[in-house]
Formats: sequence, C-alpha cells, structure tokens
Amino acid sequence: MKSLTRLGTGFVAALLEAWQELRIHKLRVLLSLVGVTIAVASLTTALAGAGMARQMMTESLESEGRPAMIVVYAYDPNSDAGPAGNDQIDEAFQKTIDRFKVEYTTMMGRSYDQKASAQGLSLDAEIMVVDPDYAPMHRLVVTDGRWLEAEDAQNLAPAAVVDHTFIKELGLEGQRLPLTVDLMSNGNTVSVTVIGTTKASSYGMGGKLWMLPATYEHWFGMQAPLNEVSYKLWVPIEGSEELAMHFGQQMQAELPGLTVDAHREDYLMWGADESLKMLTMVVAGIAIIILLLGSLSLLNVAMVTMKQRIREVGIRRSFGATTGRVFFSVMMESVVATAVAGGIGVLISVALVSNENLLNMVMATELDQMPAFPIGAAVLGMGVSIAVGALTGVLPALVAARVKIVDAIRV
Amino acid sequence: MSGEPLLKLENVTRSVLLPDDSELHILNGIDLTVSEGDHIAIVGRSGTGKSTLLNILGLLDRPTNGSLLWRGKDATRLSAKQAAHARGRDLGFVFQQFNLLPGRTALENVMAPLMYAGGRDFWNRRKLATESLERVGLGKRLDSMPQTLSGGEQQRVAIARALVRRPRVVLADEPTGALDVTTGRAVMDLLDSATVDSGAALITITHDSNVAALAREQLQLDGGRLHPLSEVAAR
Ligand SMILES: Nc1ncnc2c1ncn2[C@@H]1O[C@H](COP(=O)(O)OP(=O)(O)O)[C@@H](O)[C@H]1O
Ligand SMILES: [Mg+2]
Repeated sequence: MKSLTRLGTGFVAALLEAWQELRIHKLRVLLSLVGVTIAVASLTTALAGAGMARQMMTESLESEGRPAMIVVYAYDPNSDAGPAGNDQIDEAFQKTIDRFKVEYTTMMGRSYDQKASAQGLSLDAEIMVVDPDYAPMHRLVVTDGRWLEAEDAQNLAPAAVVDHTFIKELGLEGQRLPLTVDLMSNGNTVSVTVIGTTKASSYGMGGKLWMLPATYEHWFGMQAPLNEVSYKLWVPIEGSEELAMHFGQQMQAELPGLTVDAHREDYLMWGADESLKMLTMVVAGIAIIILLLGSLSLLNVAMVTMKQRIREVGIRRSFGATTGRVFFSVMMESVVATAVAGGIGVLISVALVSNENLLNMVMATELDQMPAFPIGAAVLGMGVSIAVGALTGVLPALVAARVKIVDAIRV
Repeated sequence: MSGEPLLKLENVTRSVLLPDDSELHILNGIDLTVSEGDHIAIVGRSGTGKSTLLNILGLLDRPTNGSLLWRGKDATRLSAKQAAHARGRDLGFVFQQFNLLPGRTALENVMAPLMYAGGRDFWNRRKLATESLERVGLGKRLDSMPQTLSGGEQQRVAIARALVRRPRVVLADEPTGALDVTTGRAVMDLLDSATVDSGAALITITHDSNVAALAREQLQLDGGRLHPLSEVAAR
C-alpha cells in the first residue's frame, strides 16, 4: 500500500518535473512541436477523412445491394423481350428459395411508364416493385413514416414508400404523412397512399416509389405490366458464387423452355476497392515522415540541453532521485510535450473535418447528413503522438539515467 | 537520541584509476564517527581529497576499501535505490557553487527534494519549502530566479533546500568558498544555528580556519588520513 502511494506521488512528481523542464525551454520546445502538431493534424485528418469517405461510399454502394447479393431472372431465349415476370416464374423462384432456405429475398420489378402527380405538379416516377426484405437488403432507411409490410397488400388503397426527391418534385415537402398522390399510366389513374419517405438516393434522377408486388399486381398489373422483373437473394459472402450457380440450376429445372440466370452482383464482387486505402496510406506516410522530423528536432533540443542537464541530474540525485526516476522524468518530458502537441493536432483535425462548408467543398457535393468524426482516428492520433514522444524520450532518458553523480557535481 | 552513530568509517580508502592506468590513492585509511548533533569541520589544502571524503559520507560515492556504516548498516551493501532514498530522507548537501537548479525559482529549488518524498511531504511541498525559505530569511524572495540573487542569498536558498526534508546529517563542501568573508561568516552562522535547531549533524569542509573554528570538532585531512587539528599544528 505504502509503495503504491509512493508510486502514485512519484508519477505525479515526475510529470510536474517534466512540465517544469519544458517550461524552461519553452521556445525551443515550441518550435520543434509545431512539426508534431502539423503531422498529427494531417495524420488524423487523413485517417478521419478516409474513414468518413469510406463510410459514405459504402452507404451509397450498399443502396445497390449489400454483399453478397445474388440476382436471378428468367427469360425466353427465343424472344427479344427482356426478363419478364409471370406466376410460373414466381412459383419456381419461391420453390427454389424454400429448398435453399435463403432468409432474405425480394422481387425486383420496375415500371418506367408511370407519371406521378399531386397539386398540379408531376414527375416521371421510377416504380420499384419489391418485397419487405428489400429495405434491409439495400440498407434503405425510412426517415419519416414506415417501410412496407406484407400486410400492406391487403390495404384498401395501394400503399407506397417514396424518396425525398419524389416528395420535393411534387411540392409535398413538409407535409404530414400519409399523403395521397396520383399515378397515371395508359390513361388509367390510381390514387396511392404514401406511408413513408426515405432520403434522396445518391444516384438516379427522378423520384423513386416502392410498393409491394401484390399491390402492383392488383392496381396496375393489367394496364401496365412491369418492364422488367428479377429476384434478389442476400446471402453470406462465403460460398455465394457456388450458391448462385446451384440456385440457378435448381430453378432452371423448374422452368423448362426458359433460360434462368443467377449470378452474384454487388460492389464487393471484384474484391474491395483499394484506391481509397492507397490514398490514405500515402497521406499517412507523409504525415509520419513529418512526425519523425518533428520528433527529431525535439530529440535535438533534448540532446543539446543535455550537457546542462547532466549537472542538474547530479544535483537531483544528491537529494534523492533514483536512476529510475531520472529516466522516467526525462522521458516524460518528451511524452508530455508530444501529447500536448498531438492533442492540439487532433483538435485542429476535428475542427477541419467537422466544418460543413469545407467538407462539402472537398467532397464536391451537398451532404444531407454530416458524417460523425471517427473516434478511432482521434485515438490513433493521440496514441501516435504519445508513442513518438516515448520513442524520442528514450535516448536522452538513457543518457540522464547513466549520469555518475560524483562526476556531475564536481566543480 | 539513540547511541548508535549515524556514520562510522573504519580504515576507509578511496583510489581511482587514472587514464595512464596508474592508481591514484586519494584516501588512505579514514576513521571517523559522526553522531547526532555533531558539528565537525574538516580542513585541508586543495586537492587533498576533502570532496572525495564528503561524497563517501553522503552516500554519493563508495569506498574502495574499508567499512562504512550508515546508521549501523553496511552502507557498501545498499542498492543504488536504497542509497538514493537514504540521501533524500536523511542527508542534506550544500555545495561551494550553490548548485541551484537553473531556470527554477527559489521556491521551486527548495521544493525539488520534496518531489522525491512520498505522501504528506510531497503534497505539502509548497508550504514546507516556503517555511524553509522563511527560516533562512528569504521569505520575500520566493519567486526570484537564482541569477537575480546574490551569492550569499543563493547559498541560503541551497541551505533551505538542504534542510527542507529535516535531514539527520548536513554535508557542506566549502559552503563559503565562493563568498566574501562577511557573507561567508553569515552563511556559516546560519548553517550552524539551523542545524543546532534541527538537531542534525553538520560536517563542513573548508580551507578557512576561521570557518573551521566554529565547529566543536576540527579535523585535518592530510596524506589521505584525518588528524585532529591541534595534533597537526603541533607537528
Ligand atoms: N574520479 C577521479 N578521477 C581522477 N582523479 C580524481 C577523481 N576524483 C578525484 N580525483 C583527484 O583526487 C584529488 C582529490 O580530489 P578532491 O576530493 O576533489 O579534493 P579537494 O576537494 O580536497 O580539493 C584531486 O587531485 C583530484 O584531481
Ligand atoms: Mg573539493
């Protein structure tokens, strides 16, 4: 217990001594620390920026389907028409799904012939006919209202979810859900109830509208058959290619006369994109070089002042400093210095990265949502500063600890 | 007060190896006993080994041969760490060149030894250091830097620093060597009275017989051995 408190006061005292020493060599220390601050700021910014960019990129890529996504469709090889849907294909798909026990699946039907209108405004809507699993499979988040449920097929009016562009184009911004909009195709108009909205999708022009297959079939199927139909399965990445192959073969067996195609299709299909990683590594590499240069000048200050320090260490040893304590104090000087410098660097980085205008300028887009500063980058920035301080501190600390008292204080 | 001496040297020798591989015998057999409250002056010409002896007494250096007992224990067997703790707790040093830490105020200099103390002494270091400086008459110069103080004042700061942990032994190596006669006299009076007050033993090294005369016991270092001063004079 006593030795523990001794260790505690020893630690506090060593920090105080280190701080005093830094205070005395203020200017020189300050100059060498500018490098450390700049380096840590750029290192942290590079890592944070890359982390945020990766997160944004992943989010946008995953709206196309989270890995591993298998796309399945069937078509008539003797016809020019694209993959269409019919009950027979749907049945074959459901049967194969049951056999393979895939948890997440959705139909993907599209219709391009619909015009949406409300309050005298209209737009060419992209109608997506999907099952409820579509949302988790594409990381689709409903920002207002709710997503489609299987029960919505039984509603008296057709239920739909639309994106923010859709709402904006029709001048419905700020209005409370549920909303009613009209969908027109081939002279036929149906009123649709909007039960949820999502944020604007990062690609595609027009507004999007999602509804369940049964809803579409019931209200629009006759007048406007879907332009194309496919199915998607969300499966573990491991073994997804083999699964696609077996799934295709099994479903093909159910559909003589048609050709079934099943293949993986997601952004990780060809492996992860390494370009961002490369850029991060280059910036981080440059930052580490600056950091080493900064710490080198810190080391220089420490070594230049060592001559004077040797006498000082001798004096301190005469009134009770142990070699361990001398080593620790001298080392802490450098650690305290770089920790402070690095802390300032991290703060600068946070200020830069959290600046909305700056971020929009760099990313060249309007972000609807500020990504959060990655804590990991800040922790790493601090960790690197402290590690560099410890590394630079070792040499002067070793010199100081080896001082012979009698030689040091001899007049 | 226990009867056990603080320091007991028997036939202590110290020799160093010179760069040309020959041995220089500095101390050739020192016998000395220091008990609580003793005031001893050691005089000798320059280069006779006074500082070498003081360093051994202060556990800063080790004898080449002979026995050195520190409070009854074989001091040559103390680990470096134990010696450091013993110095911090029980020994105070005053040097000819003051040896104040540059760039630190008088107060910070006097607080410095308390940085190696544990517990209460550490946490109360500001108060203890202030009191110690007040006792040497520098209560108004707490925040002065060493270079702004006169030689006598600097030595008083050094004395305050040596006494701040209430050592049992104070070792002063030519404490007046860098001071004029009047100032030196005042500094010696201060050292003398402060150690009388605290009950610490005081060993002063000097080449000034007037300074030596203040001590109750006077020894001369000559030929690597200690002799009573009178005996030398009679020779
Ligand atoms: N480590 C050492 N190496 C070489 N010579 C030394 C060493 N320590 C002391 N001496 C020599 O020993 C003699 C005594 O030194 P010192 O104890 O400082 O004498 P004093 O303090 O009495 O003037 C001097 O001649 C000095 O040069
Ligand atoms: Mg000397």
